[in-house]
Formats: sequence, structure tokens, C-alpha cells
Amino acid sequence: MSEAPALLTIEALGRRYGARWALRELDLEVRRGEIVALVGPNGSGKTTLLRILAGFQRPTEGTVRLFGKDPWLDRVSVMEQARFAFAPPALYPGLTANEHLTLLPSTPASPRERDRVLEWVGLSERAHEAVRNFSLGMRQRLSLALALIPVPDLLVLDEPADGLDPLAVIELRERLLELRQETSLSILLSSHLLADVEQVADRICILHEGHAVFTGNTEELETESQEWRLVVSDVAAAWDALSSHFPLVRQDSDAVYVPWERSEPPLVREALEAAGVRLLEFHRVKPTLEAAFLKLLRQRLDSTPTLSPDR
Amino acid sequence: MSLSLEALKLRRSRRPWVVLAALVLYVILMLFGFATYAETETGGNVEFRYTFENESYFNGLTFAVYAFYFAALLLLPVFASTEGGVQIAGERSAGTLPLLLSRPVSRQRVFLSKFAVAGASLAMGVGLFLVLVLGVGLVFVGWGELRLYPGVLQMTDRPQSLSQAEALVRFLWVWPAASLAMLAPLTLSLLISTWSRSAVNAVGLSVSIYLVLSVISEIHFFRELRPFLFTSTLGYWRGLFREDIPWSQIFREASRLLAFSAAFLGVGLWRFRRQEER
Amino acid sequence: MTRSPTIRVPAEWLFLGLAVALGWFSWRSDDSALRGFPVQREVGDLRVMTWNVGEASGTHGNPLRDTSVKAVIDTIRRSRAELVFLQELQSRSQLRGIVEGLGGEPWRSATSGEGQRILGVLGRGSLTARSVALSRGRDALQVVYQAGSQAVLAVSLHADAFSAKKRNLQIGEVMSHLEGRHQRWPTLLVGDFNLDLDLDKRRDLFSNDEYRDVESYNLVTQELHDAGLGKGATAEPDRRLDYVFYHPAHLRLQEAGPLSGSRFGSMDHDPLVADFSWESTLSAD
Repeated sequence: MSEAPALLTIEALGRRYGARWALRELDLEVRRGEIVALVGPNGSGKTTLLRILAGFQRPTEGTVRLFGKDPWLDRVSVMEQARFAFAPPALYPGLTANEHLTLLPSTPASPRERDRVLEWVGLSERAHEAVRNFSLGMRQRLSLALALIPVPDLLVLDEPADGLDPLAVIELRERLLELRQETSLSILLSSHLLADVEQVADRICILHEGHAVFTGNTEELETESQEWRLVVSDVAAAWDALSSHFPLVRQDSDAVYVPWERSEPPLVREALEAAGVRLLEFHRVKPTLEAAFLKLLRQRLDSTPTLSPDR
Repeated sequence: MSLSLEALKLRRSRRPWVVLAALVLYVILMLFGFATYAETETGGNVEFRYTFENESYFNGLTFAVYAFYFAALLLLPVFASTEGGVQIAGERSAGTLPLLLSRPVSRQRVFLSKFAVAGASLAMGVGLFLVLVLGVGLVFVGWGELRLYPGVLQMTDRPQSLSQAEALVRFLWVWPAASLAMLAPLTLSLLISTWSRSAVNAVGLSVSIYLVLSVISEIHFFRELRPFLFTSTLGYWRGLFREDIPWSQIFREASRLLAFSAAFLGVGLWRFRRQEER
Repeated sequence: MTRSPTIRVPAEWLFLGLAVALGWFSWRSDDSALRGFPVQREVGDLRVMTWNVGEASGTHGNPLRDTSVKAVIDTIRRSRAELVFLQELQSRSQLRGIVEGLGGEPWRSATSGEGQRILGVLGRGSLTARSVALSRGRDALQVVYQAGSQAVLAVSLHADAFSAKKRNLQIGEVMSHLEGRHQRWPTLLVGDFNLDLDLDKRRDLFSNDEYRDVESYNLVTQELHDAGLGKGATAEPDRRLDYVFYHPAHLRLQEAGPLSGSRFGSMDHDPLVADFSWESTLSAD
């Protein structure tokens, strides 16, 4: 995968609104055939990033290249190869699904192609109905259908699971993987829920207050979040002893937790002995992906009290 | 494709029907007012000692001129301002502008398609309205010679008379001329629309500006400002109802209106092409 | 083979260029008539001037002040008009002073009314004058002016400034007075009519009954032609209150317009000047 050419390259990207930085020092690449997920809570900068990619906004600093072009200066050319489906899906309420698919794409879809895409998103039965009668999930599907005529090189989906029922979310994941398999298109997904994307994304970029706090695959995220769980004779004393030696030490009522990657068992043992604390038991704890994600965000909140505004 | 999309959106929207209903109501009220006025003036209740009006003056063509005159200086520009105001700001407030701009279509094409469809629909509206007032005039009053006097409606500067056939030809000429006049309020509101995030604000501001400018351009104290206001020449088409059409004046004033329209369109497009969408 | 680069001009600049071009065309072709009467033009068979020389100072204005008489004389000289109608003179002696200022002979003068704000007429030839009594307001002044071998019948009127109804009556009575006379005479009806019906301006700001003013004007224009039509305002603010009406049977209009820049002190009217040629030859009865 890493050998494939990069369709999207973001370097040191920053975007400021007044004194507030919505994005800062962001680096990211999306290669051909790759599915990358942007994950982060509301306000983390996902939408700003997608708008910059779509050429709706200019970066304050850094560069963005989509297919080698600057989307702000060359939006039309970029849109020939990339498709965006923004959230919430805004469509024309008076037009039918069919009319959207006929009139909005730059190249009119053939009736066959239209039918195929409508079937793909599960809207064949409602093709001639005005969009004002559609549920959020149906609008979401139509928005996706619009982005697939014709099938682009890069598909950018903003919160694609919003409004979909759990079955439809699973179906969407399967469809996206199928689509990638058939066409080798690249997909950039944005979501505020890791669960929505973890099973489909090759790589995840976690955004927090405009910064990329993690970029890698899900295994790397899990690994980074592993800890030693130390059952000790005196939890409070152990915490005091370890937190002065290791970062991100935490405790609960029974044990103290030390980051797995950033600590060595002999050093831990040494520190505890020096403090007169007995180590009764220890083992490695592997959190769920969701827990790892939340932990990462919490750590960022604790360790970086102010990333913005920029001073 | 952009043109078809804009045309279909307009067809499916409620705006044309609201405008049509408003115009029909207006024509009904005008017909009532015209009938009572004619009755007062010709029914033996004439207050003026020196009067020029008589029964032959009040016919369906005069009614059509009266009805069109007030509509073209007040109602139609307001509708034009509304139509222009909802274009960009309406898409922005409905969230559909990203949908339009997520296609490989230039902002220029999006903007000019909107202008073209709004302009064409206004021209159609002006034409339909002329047909409506002439039809109502024919059915309820009956046509005849079109007699016009100075002062009345400020259409002519000397007493004159046009035969029925000639008057109908003049109505035909007035269609494109009045449609062209509507471009100025339309493009002004399109320009305002590029600045606004709310369709209501864009329409409200456009209509307010139109009304303020049209009042200012009629008031004597603002003589020095008049050449710089598009509202000063918005009724230039009235010259087409004169016995001797003042062509040079009509070309001059039409050019001025077109200059305003092109300037509004240019600035609007300039703004739209450089604008960020948040 | 190299392709020549295509120069792409953004459409907004094309529109702005079009706006400038059309604006320039519109501005250049603007009606030169609105720039006033060209006094330097060769004098026609008959040059007429009408001027309300009253001053706008005070609550109800003032008639011509003696200090402004010299300015009036200079303007009459500059206009080279041979028949001059003045409204709002202070006294008969003031008119006599103007005649003297113009050099006396061959100027003749006549006035109408007593007291202040009287009508006066000056002619560089024989003048026969009489008052035309009106049921409301000041009398009108009728003159028969002998211009060489031609005689002209002219009525000067200063219509009521505040009541459209009074104006309507005054104008109606003057028109009744003129009825039938224009068949025999080159006829003029001049003066300050205190109504402005020009297109594109609100008429209700200065009239208590704009519709009646419309009636009054139409009554006149069904018989007579308006020489100053489309030639611009004669009074402040941007109002066309002064008129020279003529009957086209014997007179042909050559040029007309306000003589801008003639106001002195707090005067609020410009003179209106009209050049005529004879349409046919008639002599005075």
C-alpha cells in the first residue's frame, strides 16, 4: 500500500479563524486504494479540513495538494477526480433522487448507471420521489450515490454513518470495501466515532483541537495505548513514586497503570522499591480500540491544556 | 447542466406561484380601482372644471398601461430583488452551495447560470403579466384607442393618441424593454446575495435598497445624485408609448441601466469567485 | 509545434468593462439640451424671455430687490431677448429703472397690478398692454407686441404658488381668454405657472393636488406647445415652473432653455429663453 502514489498530500496545514486555530501543523497523505479515517470529537477540525480539501476555504499556512493541484486555485480540475459528500447531506427538497442524479453530476449519468447506483445505495424504490419526503438516512444514501457518478479516484465522506441504522452502517462498510476492491479508489472518511470507521479504515488520523494526535493503523493505536497494570501494597505511594519517573501514570482503587511502551519493568520495580512499595502482581493491559481512542483524547486534554488560541 | 438544474429548481419552487398569486390579486385590485375612478370621472361627478378625460379615455388599453406602469415600477422590481436575493444566499442558508460546488463546475458557471435562469424567468414573468393585463383589459373593459396625456402616469409630455393596433405593437416592444429594466434590481440583489449567509437578509436588504433608491431618485433635492442611481431610469420603457418614440433617449437610458446591471453582475461575480464557504 | 498561450480574462472584468463602455456611451449621449439655453446662438425672428425675479428669502419670499436690478438688466442684455416678461417686480418704478438701465429707447414697458409682486413686460418695440382680470389672485397681463412687421399676442401669468385649485382656475380662465385668438395672432402664454409635471419626479412634494395640476397643464397643451419641454429645471430644487407656451400655427420653435447662472442674491428662478421663427406672415389688427 505504501508504494502506491499519494493522491492527497497535506503538509504543515494550518487554518485560523480570527485568533483561533481550527487546524495546526497537520500532515497527512492518502495513497491510491487507501481508506483513511479522520476521527475526532466535534470541533476538532475535521470539517475545516474537508472544506479546505474541497477548495471552499484557503489554508492559512501549509500546503494541500490533491492530485498535485491546489484545491483552492484549481477546484474544478480537482473535482474531476474527487467527490465530496458533506454532512448533513443538503439536497434540493423539490427534486427527486433521479433528478439529482441526472442534473448534478458533471457528466449526466446514463439511466443504467443511475439505476445501478440507486440500487447500490438502496434507493431504487424511491427514485421518483421528492427528496423532501426522505429520512436523514435516505438523504445520506443519495448523497453517497451522487458522489459515485462517475466513480472518482478519491471519495471524501463526511460523517457517512450519520442517520443510518446499525444494519445500514454495517452494509455501508461492506459496500465501501467492495467498491475499493472493484475500483481501487481511495476513501477519506470523517467521523466523530471511532467505531464507525475502525473496521474499514486502513489508517486513522485522530484530530484533537486542530492537531493530529495520532496517525497510524488500528493496531498501532492499540499498541500505543497498552499499559502495565501494577497491583501494589500502597496505591497512593506507588503513584507518587512512578509519576515522577514516567509520563501518563494513572491509578484506580486497586492498581497503578504505567504506559507500556514508555516504561521498562526493571525501572518500575526499582522505583517502587525505592519508595518502599511492594509489587504484588503485574500484567500488560490491552484496551479496546474505543478505550484507546478515548484514552488518547483524555491524555491530550490533560497534557495540552491550551493548544489554542495561538499566542 | 447548471442551467437545466437552475430551471428545474425554479419550476419546483413555490416562488413563481406566490408571485403569480400576488400579481393576480394586484390586477383584481387595479381593475376595481380603475372602474371606480372611471365612474367618478365620467359619471357626472366630475369635480374638475377643466378636464380631458372622458369615457373613451378609459378603455382596456389604458387599464393595461395603468396596471403595468405601477407593477413595473414597484411590484416587478420587488420580485426581481427577491429572485436575485435568494440565489446564492438561499443556497448558502439551505446548505446546498457545497453540493453545487462539489462538482467540476466553475463558480462563474454556477453564478451565471443562476443569473441567466432568474433573468429569463423575469422576462417571462413580464411577458405573462403584459398578456394578463391586456387580457383582463379586453375582457372586462374592452380595447380601443390609447390616449395619453402629460402628467398622467408621467408617460408622455404632450397629449397624444395611438391607434389600437399601434398601441398593441408598443406593448410588444415594452416587453423586452421592461425586462431589461428588471435586470438592474435583479443583479443588485444577486450581488447582495453573494455577501449574505441568509436568503431572508439578502432579499430584505435588496428590496429595501431598491425602495430607498427609487424614492430618492424621484425627489427633486437629489438632482445631483439621480444620474448615479439606476432607479432614475428604470421607467425608460415609457418612451415606447409616445407617438414619436424618443429612440436616442431610450438607447441612452437602456445603456445606463445595462451599465448598472453589468457592474452589479461583475462585482457580484468577482466577490463570489473569491469567497470562502464556511 | 508550440501552442500559443490562451489569455483568459475572468468574466467579471468583461462585465465591468461592459459597464464602463455602456456608462460612457450613456453619459456622452446625454441630452445636451439640459445644459441650458445657448445665448451665443444667432437670434431668431423673435427671442422671448420669462423670468420670475422674486427672491426666496423670508417666510414668503420677497419681490425683486433694488440691489438686484442691475443683475436683471445685465441678464436681459446677455440674453438678447426682445420681449421680456418679468414676475414679482416690486413696483412700476422698478420696471422703469430697468428700462433706463437698458438704455431707454427703443425699450417699452408695461405692468399689471398694483402694490408688490407685479407683472412687467419689456419689449424692444411697440407694446399695447392690458390686464386680464382673473377671479382668483393676481391679474394676468396681455400684450400685443409689434416686432417689426409682425405682431404677437402674449399673455403673462403668475399662477398661485400654494393652491393647485387656484392655479387650475387661473390657467383655465387665461385659456378661455385666449380661445379663438390664436387663429389670428401668433400667440404666446408665458410666466411662472408654479406647477411641475416633468417625468420621473414626485409631483406631490410641491403640490397640494398634483392631479389638478395635471389637468391644468393638459388644458394648456391641448392648444399650445410647451417650448421648454425637456429642457430642464428653471427653479430650485430641480423644478420646471416657468413656461413659454406657443401656438404652432404662426410660430416655429428654434431653441429654448433656461439661462442658467443668472440668479442673483436669493433668487430661486432662472430665466427661460425661447427663440422662434415666423411660421407665416400676419400683421397686427
